[in-house]
Amino acid sequence: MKNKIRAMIRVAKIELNIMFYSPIAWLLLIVFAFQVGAAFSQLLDSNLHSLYVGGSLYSLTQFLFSGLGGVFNTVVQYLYFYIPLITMGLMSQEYSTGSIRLLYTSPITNSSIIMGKFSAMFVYGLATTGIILIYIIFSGIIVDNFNWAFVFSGFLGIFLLLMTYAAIGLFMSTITSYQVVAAVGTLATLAVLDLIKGVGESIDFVRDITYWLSMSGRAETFIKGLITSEDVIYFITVITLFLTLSILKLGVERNKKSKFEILSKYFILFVGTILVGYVSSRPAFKFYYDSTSNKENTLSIESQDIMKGIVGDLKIITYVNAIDENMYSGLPRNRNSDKKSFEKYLRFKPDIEMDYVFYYAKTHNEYRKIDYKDGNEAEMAKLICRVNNLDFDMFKSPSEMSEIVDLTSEGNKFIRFLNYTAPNGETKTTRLRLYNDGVKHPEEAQISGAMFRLVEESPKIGFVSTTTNNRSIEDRGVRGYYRFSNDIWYRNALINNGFDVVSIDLSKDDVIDGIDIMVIADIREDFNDSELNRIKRYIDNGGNMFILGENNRQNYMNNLVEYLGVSFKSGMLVQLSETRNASIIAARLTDESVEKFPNYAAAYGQGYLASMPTAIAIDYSNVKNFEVVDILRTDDKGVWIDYDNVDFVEGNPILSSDKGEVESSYSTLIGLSREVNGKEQRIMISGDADFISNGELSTRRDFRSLNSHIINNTFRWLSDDKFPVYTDRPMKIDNNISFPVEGRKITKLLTGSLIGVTLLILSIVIITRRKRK
Amino acid sequence: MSNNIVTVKNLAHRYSVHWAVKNINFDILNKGVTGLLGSNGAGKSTTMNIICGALNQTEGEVYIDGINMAINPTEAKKHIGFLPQTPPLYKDLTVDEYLTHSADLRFVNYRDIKRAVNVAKDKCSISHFSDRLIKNLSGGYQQRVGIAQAIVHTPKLVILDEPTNGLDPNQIVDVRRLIKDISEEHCVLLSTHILSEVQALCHDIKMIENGRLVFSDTMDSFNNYIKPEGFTVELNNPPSIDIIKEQLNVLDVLQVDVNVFRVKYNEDTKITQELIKLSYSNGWDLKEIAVDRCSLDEVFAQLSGKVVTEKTIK
Repeated sequence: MKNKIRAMIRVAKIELNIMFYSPIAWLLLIVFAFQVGAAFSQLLDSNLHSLYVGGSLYSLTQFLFSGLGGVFNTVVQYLYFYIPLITMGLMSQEYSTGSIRLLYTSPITNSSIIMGKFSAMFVYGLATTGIILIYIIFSGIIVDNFNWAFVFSGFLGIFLLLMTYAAIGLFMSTITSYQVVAAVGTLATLAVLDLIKGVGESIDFVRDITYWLSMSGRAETFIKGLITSEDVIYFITVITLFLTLSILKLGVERNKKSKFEILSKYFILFVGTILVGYVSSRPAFKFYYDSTSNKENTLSIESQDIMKGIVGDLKIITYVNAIDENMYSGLPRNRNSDKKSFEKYLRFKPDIEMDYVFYYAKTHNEYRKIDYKDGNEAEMAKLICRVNNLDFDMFKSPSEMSEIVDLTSEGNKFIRFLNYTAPNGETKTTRLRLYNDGVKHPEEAQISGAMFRLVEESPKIGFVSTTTNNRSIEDRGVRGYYRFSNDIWYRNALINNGFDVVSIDLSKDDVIDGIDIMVIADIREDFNDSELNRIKRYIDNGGNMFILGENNRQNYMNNLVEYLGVSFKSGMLVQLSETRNASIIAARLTDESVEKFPNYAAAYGQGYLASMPTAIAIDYSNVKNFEVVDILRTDDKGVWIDYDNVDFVEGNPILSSDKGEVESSYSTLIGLSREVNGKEQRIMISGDADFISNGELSTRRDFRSLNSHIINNTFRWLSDDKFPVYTDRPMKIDNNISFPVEGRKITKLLTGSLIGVTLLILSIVIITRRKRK
Repeated sequence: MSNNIVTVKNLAHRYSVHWAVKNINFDILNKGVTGLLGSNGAGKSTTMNIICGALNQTEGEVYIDGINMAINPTEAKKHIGFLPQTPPLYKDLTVDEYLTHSADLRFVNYRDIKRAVNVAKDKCSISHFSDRLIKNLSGGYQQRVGIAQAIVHTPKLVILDEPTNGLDPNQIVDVRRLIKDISEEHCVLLSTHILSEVQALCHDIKMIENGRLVFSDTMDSFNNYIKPEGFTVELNNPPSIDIIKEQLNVLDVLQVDVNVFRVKYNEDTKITQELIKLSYSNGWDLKEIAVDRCSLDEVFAQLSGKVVTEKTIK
């Protein structure tokens, strides 16, 4: 053993000696140094520029190393190109110059030779990554609260990737005496390992194997800060595989072995590799380390708590309609990418079962509308199958589907059913949809919300409807409330975030039973006594409410809110602005709102505003029994309550002090809370009913809008902090650079090229001194 | 057997379907130079590669100092120094670096490496090139570095595969002298296809032809094989062919030119003296006499016709 190591070190030593006395190794190091330097200096410069012009920076560790054009990403992009050029000579050169015989006739083993060569690559790898390390250390010095763990993760990923390339390159060099063949062979093998992901993907068993074999994306996982046991084991297994193959290759020529012995060795090697790969990729055997400071690669704490409660059997059935444009997400060939949506959940509940049901049925498909103008569904499905090389028999017909489930209420679109069987045998089902936005697939808030519904009673929101009320959850007009509450294809809709929404008719007696949150908006006529009594009874019982007033409705609504000690002031709020109509109030979060609702902190810090058209001011000076939080207020300059009923077409309103109009800051959203029957009663009152309407949610203002934040946070507060599941991560803390912002040109030049130039000079000195001998 | 430095038993090697060597048996007992002869492609290099463990045989056994090469290659190789046809040099290294590397690979004690390298350099007269890059040395000196590499760890057996190949005549003389020196301390196995080299250096001969061992004996008995079997004579005043034939009592006489005759005989060693005497007494006026040098190829051709018997193998 001692001799083996001695020989290994000896082989490595001489290899390094040869490497560093030859220009190629230096040349690659130098090019590498310049490339990394260029990437780094570019990003550093852009940060310094931001500081110079007075901007603020955010999450610098990630920005510099794993962001767009970050150091790690740049390296991953080029690495596959460098390594074959170094490894191609490792053994090939020994073969072609005959120096291999010195090794063959020396008392050393094949494994010493291969391990020695690999050790040399290890050292070269250290030298290469050492360049990155210099930038890491430099960043660590200049960036406040630098996230060392995060860069370690990326560094480890790069290094493992590099060593894997090296092992493959070494093997290729072992099987040929032509260096070029070795280099091209290495590139080809790397390409195969990158592309193999797509091979046999429609067959379950083959897909699992090829997916594991694939190298693509593995280093990227490290770079985004997540170290998983599967990826580490993958790299180590592939390295071991190729080193063993190299040793065996030398042995075939030199050792006395029967064909059977050789074949069985290869067999054991491959079976072993596949076994290790299979076991390490089972969710139950995976281990994770998330190196980001806010654990952004892991489920949020709240989601994790939810998953802790999901102890029964969970099966996710996905219904895939052949005619639906989202069909591709559900196809067998995309199973692995589909699984990715639930990867974070599988980490906490590895035994989630996933099942897929294929069918065809009438649905809306924007892209196929014209193609199928005249065809029926079966014909469309057949055509789609033919085009996509799918088996039509796989898809159930509408009549077959009618025995399983009716999805017409979902428009026969792509949908998942989460079927849960609790340990006590109780079953529960909830739905998870795709949404009409760029991301399409549900994100953590929606998935966690759906999961939570499986184990927690979901809050029921009752929207009070009256005959003259157009703020109903079915109303899809500009003033309606359909979108944020009931639109099943809108990501942030309450219905997609754990809530049940219903319309309630106050004229019926038992209507408030089972309602957790009552919403009353924009009432246009007085409640009759029985209706008012029902509401008051609800309030007395400690029910949570959301009351939204509106201009010209003060009289009707004050009947209600005065019971709470609140009143809507008459007259409409106006705000002078050069860019906006004066009827639109841009309300600000107050300091106390951020104290009470920490979730507002990020938006508050970034200057988000709530846009409230035709709002009215809230007066809460007479509130007695409640604790009041002022959440939104108007600016105090250029804002007043106008009594003139201006039509805003004719120009801006004028502040007329003689009519009692006062420029001041007014409340537009307040929260009331008090203790009733041992539970905190929460009531939110808004001076505007438009700010959550369909129209306002799809309008873009000339400032960053807070409105959907408010919807989320309000209903979260009103559902006693349960829904929507909170998935925002804490803010990063590595947000500042301590480095002079003056002289950026010199900084850029030095950070970009100092290492490369140093290496260049060093290499010239070493090689010319050598040449003179 | 335990005294033997090399024992080769029933050695055979096959490249895919073609048997390169078959049924090779021999021992090498002692110090001095043993020549391994054979024409190009006869199987010399295959045999040598197998003996020093660079190649694995298909059949048979090789023992180095009593250690089976196939079973315990690392132990066996400690006793071997090998110079292949092309010296296994790392030409980008200096002589010192290379020899240190070689010594270290053979597990020379760390403390002794420097001394061992110096001794090897001295022996091969390359001390003054210690810091030169090998690629900047001439072919002859590169060959010496190759030899130094083979003896740096003072192995019991030094194997040299055609060490004078491609060298100029002066270099050949130098290298031969070096080999002679080395053979005083090491057992040397030398492969060559140059007969004069064998005759100049070896005391034992193994000859391989067409993958078979066709001769294995001492230099002296080898010399018997390469005795001349005829000579060419030029007489200014020649008699008729029949007279020459009759008087000399030889197998055959051929007239090559007007005055030039080729005389063929069997075993008689005194035939030339006889001719000179006759020429003098009969006034044939001898102008020139040239003994036919037997070329190695002819010897090979001659020997490969025979099957080596147990008797010829020592």
